[in-house]
Amino acid sequence: MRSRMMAIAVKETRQLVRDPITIVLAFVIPLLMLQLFGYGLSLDVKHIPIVFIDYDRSDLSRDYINQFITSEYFDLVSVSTEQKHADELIKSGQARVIVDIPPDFSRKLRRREQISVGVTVDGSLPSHAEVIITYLTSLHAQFNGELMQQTLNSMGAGGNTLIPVQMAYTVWFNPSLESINMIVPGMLVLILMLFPALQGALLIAGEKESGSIFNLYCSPVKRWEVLIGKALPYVVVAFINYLIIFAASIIQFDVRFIGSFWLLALAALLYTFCTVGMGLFFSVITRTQLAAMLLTLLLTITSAFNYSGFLTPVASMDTTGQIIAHLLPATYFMDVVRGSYLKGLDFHHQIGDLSGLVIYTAAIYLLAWSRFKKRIG
Amino acid sequence: MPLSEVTTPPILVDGLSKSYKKIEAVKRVSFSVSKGQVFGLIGADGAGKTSVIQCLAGVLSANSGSAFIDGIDTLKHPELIKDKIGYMPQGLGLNLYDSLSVDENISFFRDLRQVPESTFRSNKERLLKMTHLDKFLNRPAAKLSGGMRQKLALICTLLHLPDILLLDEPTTGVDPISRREFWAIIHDLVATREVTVLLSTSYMDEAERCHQIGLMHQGDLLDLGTPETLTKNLKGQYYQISYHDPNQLMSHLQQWPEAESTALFGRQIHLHTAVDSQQLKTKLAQLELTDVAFEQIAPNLEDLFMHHLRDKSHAKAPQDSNHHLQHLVIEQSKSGTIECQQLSRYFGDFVAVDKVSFDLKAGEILGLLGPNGAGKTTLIKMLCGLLPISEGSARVVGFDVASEHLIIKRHIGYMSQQFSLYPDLTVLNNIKLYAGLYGLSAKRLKKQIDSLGEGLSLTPYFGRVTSSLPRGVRQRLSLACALLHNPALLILDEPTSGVDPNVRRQFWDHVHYLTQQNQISALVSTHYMDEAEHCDRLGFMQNGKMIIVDTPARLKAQAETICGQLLVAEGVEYANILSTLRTQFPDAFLYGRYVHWQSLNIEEDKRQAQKLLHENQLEAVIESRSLSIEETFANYMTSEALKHAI
Repeated sequence: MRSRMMAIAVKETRQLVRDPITIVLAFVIPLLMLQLFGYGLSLDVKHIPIVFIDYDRSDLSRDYINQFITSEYFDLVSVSTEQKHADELIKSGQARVIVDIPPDFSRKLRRREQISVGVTVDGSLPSHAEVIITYLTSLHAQFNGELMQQTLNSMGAGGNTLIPVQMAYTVWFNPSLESINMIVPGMLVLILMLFPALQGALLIAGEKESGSIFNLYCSPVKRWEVLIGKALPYVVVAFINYLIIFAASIIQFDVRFIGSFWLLALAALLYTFCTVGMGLFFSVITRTQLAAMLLTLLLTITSAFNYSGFLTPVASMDTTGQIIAHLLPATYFMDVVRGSYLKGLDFHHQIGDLSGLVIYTAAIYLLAWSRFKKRIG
Repeated sequence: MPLSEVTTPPILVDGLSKSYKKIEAVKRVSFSVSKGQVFGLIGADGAGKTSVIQCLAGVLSANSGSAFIDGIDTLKHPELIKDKIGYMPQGLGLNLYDSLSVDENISFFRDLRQVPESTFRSNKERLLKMTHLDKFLNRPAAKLSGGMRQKLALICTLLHLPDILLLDEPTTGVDPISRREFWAIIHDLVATREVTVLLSTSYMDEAERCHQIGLMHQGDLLDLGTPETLTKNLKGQYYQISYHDPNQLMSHLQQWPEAESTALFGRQIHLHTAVDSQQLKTKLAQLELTDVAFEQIAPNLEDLFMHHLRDKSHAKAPQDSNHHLQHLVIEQSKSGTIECQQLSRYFGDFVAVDKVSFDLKAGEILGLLGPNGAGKTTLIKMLCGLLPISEGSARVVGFDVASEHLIIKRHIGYMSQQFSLYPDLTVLNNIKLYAGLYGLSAKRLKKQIDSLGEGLSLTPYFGRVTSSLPRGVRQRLSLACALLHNPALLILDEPTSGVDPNVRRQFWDHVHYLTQQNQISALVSTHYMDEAEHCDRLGFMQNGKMIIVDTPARLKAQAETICGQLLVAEGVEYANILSTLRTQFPDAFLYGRYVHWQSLNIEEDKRQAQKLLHENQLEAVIESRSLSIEETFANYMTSEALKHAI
């Protein structure tokens, strides 16, 4: 005979493997989500469509245009002579930048007079627009620099005296500066937050809806036996999910991983135990599966997306943001994940975040236990 | 054993009250159940039965009073009683896990209750045998019929051999055959293990199977006692009167000051009055009616319920004046007939309906009875034109179901207890919504609102929100919505499941008026004998086949001829009487405190049984009785001899 806890775990496992929807929710949708975000969510600003209105049509203006379109950052949409045409392109989203070269561009430059080039940037995505402006400024400066060099040369000053101090920089942890190295491990954290919690949320509310909860209410089973028995199979599912996503991140997305496999696995096990527990807690305090699911969506994925440090570092949030961040288990696991993938930190460096996870997990199960009454109403 | 333990009743409820916000669900209820007794809490939905049971099961807190299981306060120490009880919540096997097989469900309950292996093995085997589920061990619970689910739920409740069983509406929605088996198991447990049982039901016909009953209504415990003594205490006389125009006689009797209450049962009138039969004879003679006949009958529990409800309200119950019914005029353009010939429906290899033939005349009520899965629903769907037929033919209200099903829908009205009105709409808005769905013109709608509003006494409620109405009014509203488009045929699907007896009586008064005065016909699908009693003819279905269609009287007579009359043995030691009688009459079974069996040779069998009991120093009174509708139905379902005789 099995212990009560194992009896519940075995029952949950049987229900889980026989329900096609649970299987899809457990394995297929998380992987699908990883694909969508892994390929779709890129923070790299490259191949920006650009339009030039060239009223000058001179060699110099063509040099100026070439300066931009030979870089990997900009893709030429068209060189136009009509303002209206260019405006249409930016309105319809086919272009995001218009550069307006005035008719007397080459004439004035040759006379060494100052001239302005008009630049219009699509500001509907502010962070993109800022990056675009930075690119434009630096390419523009480069063009200016070359012009000045030519002028100095022609005046007989010669040599590379124009830019006396050069900067030599090194990027640590993500040398190629590709955002995929940050998105995919981040998605690992979010997926392992959302799906285990969602499945946990259905566990007790589901039995409340069907009426089978009375089997547990009216038997001598202990509350902790119910909670742990129900959590176990779903922790196993979530951990298998972790292994799948981990493999996909390395094999499919080619993300750099230099940390300890075992350390991350341990952290993932803790984290999934914790997130299943969060779902269980929501399931305990609600009466229907729908309510439990909505609460889970609101309190896990939405907050984790914004505050776990997925896109914005926790350190650059305001005080409120930092407090919220530290109330989420995702924040601690995010640190462990980023630290393992990119920085290769050892156990010693991760101990703080790991203990955060342990405390959080214990707290959430205690909370669920205390709120789980073997009574209705 | 210390004395205190001997006297402590296994179940004791003392002044228990429970409120949900403003609603008092249970009002100072007190009763006790002694060891080895079956106690039935009887009442409609919302009477407070579930709350009482849940307080006893230790899953619900009360506002005041106390509840004890074996002397332990379940409100203060709920965890201490959980090993002692077996609790089955309301709903057909809702505590089962659908994706788990029968065997896996049983194993889960073993582990949950930590039943020792030796107890488990013998108990499981015995329970599986009793319930005939041993052949279905590997079938998932989701694929069991309603009756089988309920039996599996019972196995899971009984697995740890609890001495006290708390069963909440265990037979609601279960077909009569499964219900009989279910009761046989309960009575067997009581006889062999002295189990104490508290169960609830909304069906009066189940009360007789209990040793003690408590009548509940809106949180009050109206009365308490054995089914026999309770009805014996009723004052006045009860008569059954037959006359060719019962509605006409009803209206006469309702104006008679001596009549306490009247109700229609099919074409019979039940009259409750203080006068003796001589005075009734005089009264009926005064009315100058020919061919009127009456006989005195014993009051049943429904009469008892009506008596208490009248006492409480200190006024005549609304169904005692049926004058408003004269406004109920349905101008159907067709005659509500059904001619069904060799009608069949297949789903792949499965024959859901198998060559069914029957007729329904205008103004007739035909009841369809059959176990779950007998094909009743499929048959009704085909007759309504909702499901294509496979073979055979049927004409409903004069139209062919295969080619003219769209017209048929315009001439039938459908109503069930579950049929949803929109609860947040007012009564009038619900009516208007249904009128819109049926495409009634504004002029017709106005006329219908007037006639149905008056005829079903709905006019005072027109502006009220439906959810705030008493159940009886909601039921009349459902009926009004089904009648809006002047249908010729009403389809009623368990129309009075779980309602108060007064509401049920009123509903049937309306249906009888509609069929007898307006010539509307009705097809009723039900599991309940309370409803079957109101039908002119009954059709028994099994495995897709219509076994027989006939009047209740003729069905009974034929069953008695082939399978025998009922013999009832009543004695104090009913468990011993049963085991003794079984040596001679193996089909004998327990029915409450009585032993029932059927006999083709009653005088001889009576003598033999008396002799047998005498030899074993047992005393019992043995009487013969005519079969009830439920027993008749069971005979047709189980007796091969009877099936051959048809």
